[in-house]
Amino acid sequence: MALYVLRRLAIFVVSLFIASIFVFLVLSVLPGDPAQVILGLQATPESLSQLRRELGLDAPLWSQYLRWAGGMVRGDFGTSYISRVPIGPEITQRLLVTIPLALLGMTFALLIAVPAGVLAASRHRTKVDTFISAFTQTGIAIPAFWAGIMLIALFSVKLGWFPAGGFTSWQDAPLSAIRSLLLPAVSLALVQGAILTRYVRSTVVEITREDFIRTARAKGLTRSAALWRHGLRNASIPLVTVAGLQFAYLLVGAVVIENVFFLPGLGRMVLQAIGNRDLLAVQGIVIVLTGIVLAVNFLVDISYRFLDPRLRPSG
Amino acid sequence: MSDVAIVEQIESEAPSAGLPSRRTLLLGALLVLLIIVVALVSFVWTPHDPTLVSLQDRLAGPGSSFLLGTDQYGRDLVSQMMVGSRTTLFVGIIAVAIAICVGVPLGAVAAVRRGWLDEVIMRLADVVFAFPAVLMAILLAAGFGGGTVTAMTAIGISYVPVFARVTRGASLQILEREFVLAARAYAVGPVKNFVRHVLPNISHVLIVQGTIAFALAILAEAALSYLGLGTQPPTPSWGRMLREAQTYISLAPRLAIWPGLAIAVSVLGFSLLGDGLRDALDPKFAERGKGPR
Repeated sequence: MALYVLRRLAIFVVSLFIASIFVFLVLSVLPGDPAQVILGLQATPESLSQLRRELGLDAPLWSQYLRWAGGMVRGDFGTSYISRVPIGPEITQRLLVTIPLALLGMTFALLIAVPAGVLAASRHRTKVDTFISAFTQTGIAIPAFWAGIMLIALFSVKLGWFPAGGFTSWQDAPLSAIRSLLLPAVSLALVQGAILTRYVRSTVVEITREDFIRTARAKGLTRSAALWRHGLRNASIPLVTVAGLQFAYLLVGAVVIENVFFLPGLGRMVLQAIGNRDLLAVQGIVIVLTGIVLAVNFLVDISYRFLDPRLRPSG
Repeated sequence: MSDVAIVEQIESEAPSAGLPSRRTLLLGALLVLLIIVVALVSFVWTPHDPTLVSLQDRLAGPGSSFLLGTDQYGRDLVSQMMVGSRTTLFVGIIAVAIAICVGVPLGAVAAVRRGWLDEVIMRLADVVFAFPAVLMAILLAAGFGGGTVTAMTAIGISYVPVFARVTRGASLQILEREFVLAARAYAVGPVKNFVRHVLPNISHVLIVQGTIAFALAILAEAALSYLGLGTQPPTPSWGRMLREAQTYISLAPRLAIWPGLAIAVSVLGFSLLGDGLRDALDPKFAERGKGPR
């Protein structure tokens, strides 16, 4: 077991390393010159080369990479070329919006998916099943950001129940912070919920054919009781896995949704950084998001080894 | 099961649920055909010039002169959406083509060679898989600027791992079969052997995966254009139209409704087509569908 965890950990570290090289190369082997961007077109060649020296841009690529990666290991993401503000603390600040949004979205998605999926499976091949399936088919086809715009049109513009966007910080008013995350989280959950419902349904349908369900039925449990009591527990392990892996898509979905609702998260930060050609900030944000995705994959991989007794080595 | 395999399962194995597969296939094919026809017609005819700015017609409601009304510049909504379907199909085709042209050979090499090369290719695929399409596009847009080409390339690259995985998995089974071994015994080279004997036997898997990837590419392109990183004005694109419509959401919500519906209908069409094709082409799924209750 320890060996397995170590092996997965090594894969995680190597993957993050390769990803960081990839991110660095895409943004470094560019025709653009950050010094030129900062000083503008009127800059003299002398001031340009002086700034390049200050920023360490005259060093060879590999040493620039080491400086950047080494800094990140210590938690230092560098200082923005444009705003001259340290990037690391700003990313941390923004994560306080993006991560809660993604988690809330996943919670809502599971609240939709588990009941709907089990219901569809327990009424396998009936009208209920067909209805839920048609519903999830449609849900998967809807872009989450469009769902967001429609929710704004209905609940903010028409009914005025929710703010159309914006965010009050957690310190100032935690309740209203949650309130401003509700609509965005629901837009994410409608789509994720549809994807997960399909998964719950097919997993539970598979489980229906297992012997232990037949035993439970023979014991006198009804079909639904057998499924809820024994089926769901067995479906929970693959569900945890899938929910974990879908978290990557939810995180990226959150990046898009933040821009619909004007939430000050990583998604807005990265778009502003692209607009300002603030490449160092983009580098930092992309590597943080990738790191989170890889870390979740790593945790999911080892967690289902722990959760599922059948996968634990017997010795 | 590896991470990627599980996600692929969601995308490709989630059964076409309770819908009868024949109807799924038919409905999907009809919707896809509809979009292709609209895109083709838009080359020769649209009700109005989609980019013509006409201020006296701005935000005109639906009526006889403008079927669905006009936007804030007085441009006809129907005409813009018709031309927008071209963008959608074009991005989807190129993105899926990139994913297939890179992913299939990589998966084939991994399956045929095995050993360390297999391990390296698949590990790299795992790393690329950690960059969902939108994240990849953000990275490329920061480097090379936003645009249709950036969006297509980013979406294409992000689906390479899926095709590499699927090709490798399906090929491994076929490579064990007698007719492939026999061909090898006749000293047929590995490339020729793969193209002639393995590829035809895994093509149905690739067609299904390609159709589903197409649906996902439409969603990704819409999101990117909405963020302003995809198709740039004045080229009409559904995602871009939604971006502009949001400003006028209280004045003219219909501007935000129709392009969104167009996206949803196209994605639905391609994903139903993918599901239907899988049931039709792959006997394994048909059998599973008919299994005992």
